[in-house]
Amino acid sequence: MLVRRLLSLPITVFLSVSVVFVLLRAIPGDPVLALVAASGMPAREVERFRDRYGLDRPLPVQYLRYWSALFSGDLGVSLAYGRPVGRLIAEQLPATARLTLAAFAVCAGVGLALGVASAWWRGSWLDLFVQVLAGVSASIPPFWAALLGIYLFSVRLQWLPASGDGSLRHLVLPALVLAGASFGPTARLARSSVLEVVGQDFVRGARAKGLPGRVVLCRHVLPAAASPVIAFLGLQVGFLLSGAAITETVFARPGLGRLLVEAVLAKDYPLAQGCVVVAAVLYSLANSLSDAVCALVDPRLRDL
Amino acid sequence: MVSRVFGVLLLVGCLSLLGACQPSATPGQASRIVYGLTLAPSGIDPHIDASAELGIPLSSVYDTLVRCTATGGFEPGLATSWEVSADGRTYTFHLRKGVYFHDGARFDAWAVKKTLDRIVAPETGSRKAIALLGPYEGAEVLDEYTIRIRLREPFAPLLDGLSQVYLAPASPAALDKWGSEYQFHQVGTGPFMMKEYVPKDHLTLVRNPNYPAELAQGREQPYPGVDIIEFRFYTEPASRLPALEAGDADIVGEIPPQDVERLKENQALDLVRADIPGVPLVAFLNSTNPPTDDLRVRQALIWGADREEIVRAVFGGYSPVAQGPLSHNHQHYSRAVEQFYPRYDPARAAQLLEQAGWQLEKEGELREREGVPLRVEALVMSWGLVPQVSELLQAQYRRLGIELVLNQVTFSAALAAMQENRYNMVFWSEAGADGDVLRLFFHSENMGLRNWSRYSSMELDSLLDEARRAADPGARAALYARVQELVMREALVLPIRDYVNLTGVRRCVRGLRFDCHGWFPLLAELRLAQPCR
Repeated sequence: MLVRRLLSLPITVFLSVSVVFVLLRAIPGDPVLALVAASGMPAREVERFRDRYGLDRPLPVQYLRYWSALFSGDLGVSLAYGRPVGRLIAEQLPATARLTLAAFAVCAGVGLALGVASAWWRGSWLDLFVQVLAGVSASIPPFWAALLGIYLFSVRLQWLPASGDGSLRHLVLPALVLAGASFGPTARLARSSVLEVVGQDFVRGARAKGLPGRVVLCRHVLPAAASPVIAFLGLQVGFLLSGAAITETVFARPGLGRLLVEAVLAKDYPLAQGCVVVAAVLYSLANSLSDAVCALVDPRLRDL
Repeated sequence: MVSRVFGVLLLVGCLSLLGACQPSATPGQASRIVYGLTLAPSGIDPHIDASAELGIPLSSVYDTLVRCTATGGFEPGLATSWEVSADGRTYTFHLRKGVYFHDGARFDAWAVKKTLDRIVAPETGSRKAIALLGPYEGAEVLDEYTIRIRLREPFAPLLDGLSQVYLAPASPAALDKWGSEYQFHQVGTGPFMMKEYVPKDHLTLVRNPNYPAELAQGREQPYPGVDIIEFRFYTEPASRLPALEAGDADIVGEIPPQDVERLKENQALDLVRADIPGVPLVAFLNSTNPPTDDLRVRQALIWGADREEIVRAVFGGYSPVAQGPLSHNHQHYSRAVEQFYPRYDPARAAQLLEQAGWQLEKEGELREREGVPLRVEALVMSWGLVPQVSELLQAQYRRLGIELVLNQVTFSAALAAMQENRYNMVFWSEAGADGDVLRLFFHSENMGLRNWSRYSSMELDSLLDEARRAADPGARAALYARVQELVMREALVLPIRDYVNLTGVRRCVRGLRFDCHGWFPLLAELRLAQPCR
C-alpha cells in the first residue's frame, strides 16, 4: 500500500508541474518586461534577459528543458532573485516546516482529543462547547483571526510577540491561527467517526463483556474510527501548507508560502514551479504517511 | 495504539505551549533597535538589485563618493574633492585617505574601480546601478587615491547616482571571495557593518567601532549612536502598527494612513513624515488610445478629479496634493505647473467634454459621442492604496458622465496591456532626486516600457537630452521646468499626491532622519532615549 502510494508521487509531481507550467504562462503578462520596467534598466535589456533565462525559446523546448534539468536535480534560477531556486527554497523551507508541524500538532492533538471526547460524552455541555468551537473555527477567516490574535495577545496582553521568527514564543500565535481553520473540521470528523463506531455491535459486545469504558474506547472504538480521521489529517497537511502563505505574511515570518505567492504574482516561472515541486512531494509524502499509519492502526486496511 | 498517537500529539502540543512561557533571551548591555521594513527584497546586493528598500539598511553599511545635501548640491564623502572636465565627459575624484573597509582592507582608487567594473560587467546582471552610471565608458586609476571616470557623453545625473548606495565602493577582497553570494557578506566602509542576513526573516547590522572621525564630523557623538540594528520585514500593511504597539519593532515605515490616528493617540509612539522627491503618485493618461487621445478629454479628466478629496479620504491628509510630474519638494520642481489645473472644476471638465463632442443626453447617464459611451479604461495595481484612489476617482467621474472602468491587474499583466495599448490610464509613482527621473516616463526611447502616456515628441526628447547633458544646475532646472510645463499642457498625467513615507517610531528612539532621496535613513544618527526593552 505504502509502496503503491509512493509510486504515485512521480505522477503527482509530473501533473502539478505541468499544470503550473501551462497556467503560469496562460496568465497575461511578461515577467521579464516587468523586471526591466521595475528597475532602471533601458528597454534593450529585455532581450538580453530573455536570452539569459532561455525564455526566448519555444514553449515545448522550455518545458522539456525544465524536466531534463529537474532530473539532474536542478530547479533553475529565479527570475526575480537571480539565485538558484533550490537554494531559495532550502532557505525558506525550515520556517514553513516548523510552522506547519506546530499547527498540525495543535490541529491533530486538540482537534482529535476534543472530537473524541465530545462523541464519547455525547449531548453533554462539553459536546455542545466543542460543536460551537468547531463551527467558529471553521468560519473565521485566518487573516482576520491573525489580526485579532495579534491585537489581543500581543498589543493588549503583551503575552506573545506579534511578529517574526526565532523562538518557540514566536511560533505560538501563528501556529494557533493556522491550526484554527483546520481544527474545527478535524474535531467534527473525529466526533462523527467515533459516533458511527460506538453504535456498532462489536462495541456493544465489548461493553457487555463488562470491559471498562476506557478500555472499550482505546481498544475497540478508536482503532475502528481512526482511518477516516487519519486520512483527513494527511490531506490537512496540504491545507496547512497553503494556509501558511497568509499566516506568514501577517506575522512577518519567513517561509515557503510567501515565496510561492510572490513567485506567482511576479510570474517568476522557475521559482513558482520549484515551490510546486516541493509542495507536491511534501503533500504526497504526508498522504503516504497517513496511509501507513492507517494500516498500522486498523488491521482491516493492511491487505488493501 | 491510537491512544499512543494521541498522547504523542498532545504532548507535542503541550510542549509547544510550555515553550511560550520561557522568557525570551535577556538583552545584554548592547543598545539595540528593531527596524521594520515593508518589503522583503528579492535581493539586497546594491550593485545588482533595484529595490529602494535595500537602501534603508545598506546606505549605512557603505559610504558613497559624494553625499547629497538637502538643497540639491553635493558634499564630500569618500571623495574629498572632484573636478569635471569642460566637456562634461570626465570626472576626477580625489579620495579620502585613512579609510578602511570593515574587513580591514584599505579604501583606495582600486576599490572604486573594482566596484564600477563589477557593476558594468554583463555577467553581474545589474538592474539599477548600471542605469545610474548612464553613458559610462570606463574608469582609470590615476594614483592610489585618484580615480577618473570617463563617459561617452556628458551626464549630469552622475553625481546623484554616486551619492546612492547602488554605486557605493565595496571591499574588493569580499567581492572576490563571495562572488554571487556577496549579498550575504557585504563589506563597505560605512558606520554599520553587516552581521547577518536571513532572507525574509531578518538583517542585522552592528556598529563599526573604527568609523573615521572625519566622516562623522559635525554629527552628534558617539557616531553611530546604537550598537545593533535588526531589520525585519512587515510586508502586510495591517501588521505594521501592531508590531509597534506590541513593542516587537521600534521603527516601522509606510504606516497605512488609516492607522495614523490610532498611532497618534498612543503616548508611546511618534510619527515621522518623509516626503519622497520624485514622480508623485500620478495617473498616466494614454495619448494614443481613444477617448484619451483627445487632449480635451485628458484635460477634462484632470479638471474633473477632486484630488483634495482623494488626499483627504485615502491618505488622511498626510500628503501634499500633487501638481505636476515632479513632487513639490523636488529640486527641479517648477511652480509654473500650478497654473494649469489649480483647483477642482467639474464645470470646466464638462465644458471640455462637450467641446470634444461627448454629450450628456440625460442627467445620470453616460456621455456619448456618435452612439459610443464615454468609457476610460484604467489599469489598477494593488499597491500604495491605488485601488482606493481609483474607486474614488470612479465615483467622481461618474458624476461627470464618464465611466472609469477599473481593471485589477498584476504589474506584469499591466505591462502586457500597455504593450498592446489596451488602456487609457495607469497609476504609478517613482522616487528620484534628480529631474532625470522624468526621462523614464516621457522620453520616446522608453516607449512601450515606461512611457505610459505614449507621448513622443522631438521637443520633449531634446529637452530631456539637453537637461541630461547640461553642466550648469540653473540651466538644468530651466530645462526640466519646460518639460514639466509641456507635460501638464499636454495633460499627460493626472497628478494625485506627493509620495509620503509615514514612519512610526517608538519614543524610546530618537533622531530618525532621512537623506535627500527620502527613503534612506541616516541610521548612525539614531539614539536610544531610554531602553526600548
